Amino acid sequence: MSNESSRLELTRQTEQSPRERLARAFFFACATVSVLTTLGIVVALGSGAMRFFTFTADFGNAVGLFDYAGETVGVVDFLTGTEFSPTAADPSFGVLPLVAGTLMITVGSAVIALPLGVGTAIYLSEFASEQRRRYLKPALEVLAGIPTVVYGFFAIAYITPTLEATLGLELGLFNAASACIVVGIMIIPMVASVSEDAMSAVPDDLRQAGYGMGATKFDVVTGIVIPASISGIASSFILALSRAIGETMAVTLAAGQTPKMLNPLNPASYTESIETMTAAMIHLATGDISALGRAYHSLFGIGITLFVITLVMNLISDYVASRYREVY
Amino acid sequence: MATDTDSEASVFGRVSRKKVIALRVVLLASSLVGIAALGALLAYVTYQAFDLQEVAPAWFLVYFLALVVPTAALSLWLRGRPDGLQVGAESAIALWGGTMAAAGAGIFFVAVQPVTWFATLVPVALVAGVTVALGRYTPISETVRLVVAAVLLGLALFGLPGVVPSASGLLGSLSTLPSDFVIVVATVVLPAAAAVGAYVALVREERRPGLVAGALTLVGVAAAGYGIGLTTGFSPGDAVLIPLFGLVPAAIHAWRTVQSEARSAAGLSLPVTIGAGSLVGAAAVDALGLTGPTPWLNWQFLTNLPNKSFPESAGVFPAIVGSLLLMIVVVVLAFPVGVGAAVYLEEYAPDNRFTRFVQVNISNLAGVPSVVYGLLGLAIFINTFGMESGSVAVGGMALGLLILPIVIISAQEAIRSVPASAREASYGMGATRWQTVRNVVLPQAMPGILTGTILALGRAIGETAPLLMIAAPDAYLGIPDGFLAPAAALPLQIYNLAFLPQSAFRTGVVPAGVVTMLAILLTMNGIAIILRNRYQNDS
Repeated sequence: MSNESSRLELTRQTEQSPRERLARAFFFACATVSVLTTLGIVVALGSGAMRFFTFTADFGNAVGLFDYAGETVGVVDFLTGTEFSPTAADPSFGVLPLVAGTLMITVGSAVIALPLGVGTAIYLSEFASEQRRRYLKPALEVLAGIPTVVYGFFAIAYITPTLEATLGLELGLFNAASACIVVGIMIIPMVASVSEDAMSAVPDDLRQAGYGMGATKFDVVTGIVIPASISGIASSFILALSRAIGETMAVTLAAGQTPKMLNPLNPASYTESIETMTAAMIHLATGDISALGRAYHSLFGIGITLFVITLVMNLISDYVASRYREVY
Repeated sequence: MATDTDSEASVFGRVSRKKVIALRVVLLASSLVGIAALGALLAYVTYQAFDLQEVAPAWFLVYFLALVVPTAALSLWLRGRPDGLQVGAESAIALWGGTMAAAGAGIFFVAVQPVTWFATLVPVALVAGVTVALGRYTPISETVRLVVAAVLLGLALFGLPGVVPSASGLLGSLSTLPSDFVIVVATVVLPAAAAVGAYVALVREERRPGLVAGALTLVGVAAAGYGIGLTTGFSPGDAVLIPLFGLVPAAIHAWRTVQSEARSAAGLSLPVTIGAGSLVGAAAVDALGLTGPTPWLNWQFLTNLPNKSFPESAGVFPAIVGSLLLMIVVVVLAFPVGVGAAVYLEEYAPDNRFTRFVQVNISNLAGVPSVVYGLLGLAIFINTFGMESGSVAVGGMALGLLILPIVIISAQEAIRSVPASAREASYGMGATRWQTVRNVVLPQAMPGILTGTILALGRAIGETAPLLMIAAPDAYLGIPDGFLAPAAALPLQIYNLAFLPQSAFRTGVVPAGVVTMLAILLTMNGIAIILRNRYQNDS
């Protein structure tokens, strides 16, 4: 480039030149896409769910919001109903069996993932040498990187038979236990990485002060590091559980598609086939149902329930992490 | 801790390390449980995919001696050299990933006919050339130039419906079109050779070596591709992709390593050892008359159509094509938008409510279950905009939105790690914000951005739920022919196969599909990790 043209370019380019404005507008538009996505999710779920619920009855005429005249379901019936059979001759749309199923997966995977995840985090942050960390961390990332449909296949093809052979359990092809195990494995890295970040943020001065008082490493870990990072650990738990709630393919494949009201705290329930909210959505979307009926629109009812639950959990996790964080 | 005053001395005396050692062991075990469980599952699925059950122990022994022992010995030796093992891993990944990329490019030309590709690319290149020329040789303003470019592009691709035919339509309907080989050489090999030349010229800071390298690449790849086409069953147009993607990146990596003073070139022998070991093993097995496995995962499995009744002849080719097309849509959408949003948030955004809202919104979007993105695609793209259900475009858009928050967050981290001093230097020289972003921030952040994007893409490849929600079809429809056609994807195919009644599907075909998908994923992760390591070493 000659001197002439480079001088021209220098003088021509200011913050207000068209190129600058175009760049700025493009970047701004990109940032707005994420807001539009949220808006799209809310509108998509909201309008579908409204068609599903009884706004017709509430407003006292046949045609309610969105000019939807078909049969609908009451919000209260939906949220408190204990039977979910959308395709039966006399269908009922109670979401509680699905929530119970989701709760079972959450409890079961938490039993596996929370202790292992926190243990991993403590090991990585307090005990592991730099060399070990370099191998362990990518290996843990792989756990989260395996597609969930593969985990689901592992559960039905390998884990269920192994459980039957080793523990002598009577399991069907579909059962909650195998789904809990794979979901637990896949959320370990999430607990581990968020908790480890919190533990690494605990300043070394605190540890040194502990050692100076004559504490052993055991005392320092249990008495100083864990209490100091407890908000980060709690927020990692909530995040991981929210991931378990939204987990779809592994539970669809492994836990089955039979909605049941079972007690999540009773270990015997885990040998049975259940259905989670996400699995019910897959079931409804792939099943042979009319795109206009209540069964189809119940998809959006379940979807908005799921969305609200995970959103609230994510917000709580953010809140816990920022509100109770010890700032050093 | 000793706090009791009366027994202080005795407690001090009894401080033991047992508790700490026990804790350490428990913690190490807990961090290995998940990894070990997954390792066992992966080993077993590989065992089934390759049907290693019937194989004689001698067969394993031969390959162990010919392949595993030399590779392990070489790796141990390389650990003592500067960057030795790393160079070895890089060159092996370059060769393997390049081969995968060649396969991907070949599959792309199955779905998109080279003629269609040619007829689209030539008008676009012409418009780009005209736009650049206008800027360089005429004094017209930036705004006018952009408008002219947009109009020309619209005319070139779509024409005026009913009045002026589009340039690509005209080109596509010509009676004599260049052969596939010429098209691929002109549209893929030529730009790649130019890029190689430019890179060499940049490194050597001289034009002549660049020209030589570019010309050598062009001629060498074209000749090698034609040769491969003549000797194997590939068409020359496809065959040319094998040396281009399979060998050129590895050759550049080898050249840079040999040039570098600080890195040991001995690592380059790692892929050679692996290749030679495989050949020696194959020859020895043949000579000894040992029967190897008849793997489910073989060439026929990768290239056949699916088959619900005969597991032996079932294949996943349409699903692979579908996955590739989906990935192209996802990259084209999520990469520019994600990086753009990250640049806005890090470089442009004022610290106000809207910015904070966008930031919170992005981190919450990252936690939205994937099945909800499927509902978004179903309700908005299909039911509202009337796009075809199950099409590649809808699936790609849903998956693109799904990974968008991940891309944005990782790109933000990469941009944040660019030192402020670099920006200040740029502003101090009078550069504008866009010039700083383009010339300083993005080039320095690019390795980090690419790493994050590759990892996010891996997530998108494995997602099944959104595709099921938008009613992506089984692969039995056949090979998708473009971005608007409905198409299956690999994970979807695995899901559908897992429930077929014949047990051979569960013990053979599905494991083969799983291993195929994991091989693609692990290659991508390997490339991402190597990029990250190189990047961390540099900074």
